Amino acid sequence: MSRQNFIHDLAWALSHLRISTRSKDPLGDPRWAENDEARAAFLLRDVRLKDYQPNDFVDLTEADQATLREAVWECRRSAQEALSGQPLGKERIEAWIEALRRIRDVVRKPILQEWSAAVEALVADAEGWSWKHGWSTKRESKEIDEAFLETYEVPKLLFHANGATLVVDPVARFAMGAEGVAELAVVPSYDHMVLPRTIDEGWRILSDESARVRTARLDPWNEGSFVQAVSYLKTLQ
Amino acid sequence: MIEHQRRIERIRSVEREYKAGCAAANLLAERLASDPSCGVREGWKNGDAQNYRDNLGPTFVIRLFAEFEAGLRDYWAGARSRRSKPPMRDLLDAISTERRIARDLLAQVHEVRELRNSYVHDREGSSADLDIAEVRSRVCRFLSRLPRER
Repeated sequence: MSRQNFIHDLAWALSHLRISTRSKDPLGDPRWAENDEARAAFLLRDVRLKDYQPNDFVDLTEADQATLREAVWECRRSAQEALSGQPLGKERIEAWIEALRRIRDVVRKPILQEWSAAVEALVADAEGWSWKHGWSTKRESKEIDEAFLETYEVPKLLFHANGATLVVDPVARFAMGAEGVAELAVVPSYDHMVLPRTIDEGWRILSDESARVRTARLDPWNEGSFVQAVSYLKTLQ
Repeated sequence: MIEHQRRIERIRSVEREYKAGCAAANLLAERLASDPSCGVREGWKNGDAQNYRDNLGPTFVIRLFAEFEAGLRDYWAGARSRRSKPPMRDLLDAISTERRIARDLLAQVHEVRELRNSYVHDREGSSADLDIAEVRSRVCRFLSRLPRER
């Protein structure tokens, strides 16, 4: 779990950093830190790396593991000094941002690969089930922008189910309570059902058809639930 | 209980009222330029006109956020049958976890909440300015993630 916690904390902190700095890429384009080192240190301190365990990243290349280890060490050292109230100076702030950028870049690569494969599998499932039911399908490319992963492309699937147009639409890798989220939506109302994913359990359907239930039900992602969800959404188009 | 789509429409109408307010402020400025004492005759001072203009953004952000908050509380109490009345911060986190809302969107909406709080509690410099179109966009995107009520 510490690897996931580390990644979640990092993603959350980068969301805030992007907003606080008004910079689309606060680590790659650190001009926001130039004029106010104290504020920069204050914001960077929020990027906590407490859950980092070197053993959680043995799947990375040795070079990437070493980069990660050194960058985390650099960040922790800077954070400690900043917390003690020491002014760090321009060069140290730049080194801190650069270390965070290295961490993000090393960790981002496997996450994006894994997430892209998960989205591909989701779309392929929906495509296959649609064909089985004689529904025509069309894949399109979708651009997603997240603070952690920046801009990337994934497929989405449009399909026509007996007069209704629906879409399997990936939303984000980093979501509350999930390690990835997509939507199954009906066009044009865009009423939707949420498709959350966890690393351990894969994709599910958040089934709260009437919304008047205290706790939504998580249905498995299989042909039966998919067809049932499509039937329900068709009533909302 | 108001359905989310109607709530979103109300939020959009608040934004339009803001635009009307800006236009009115411009007209008022023109009138004051040609007739500086018009306000005095109607019981207000020129400084009040300036305050009106300066406070338009904050006033409408507070109103817009009130609609948003009411929408979430309707959902929490009505659709989800919850009796608790959590603070807005916790409510946003709870609904985001339940609806698996993207972390980036949640962070953006928290920023709107902090902006609204800074206006209500008259805190200066605690939040960056966001224009009302951005505020509307963020809260409407959040509301659109809730399921339809039937």
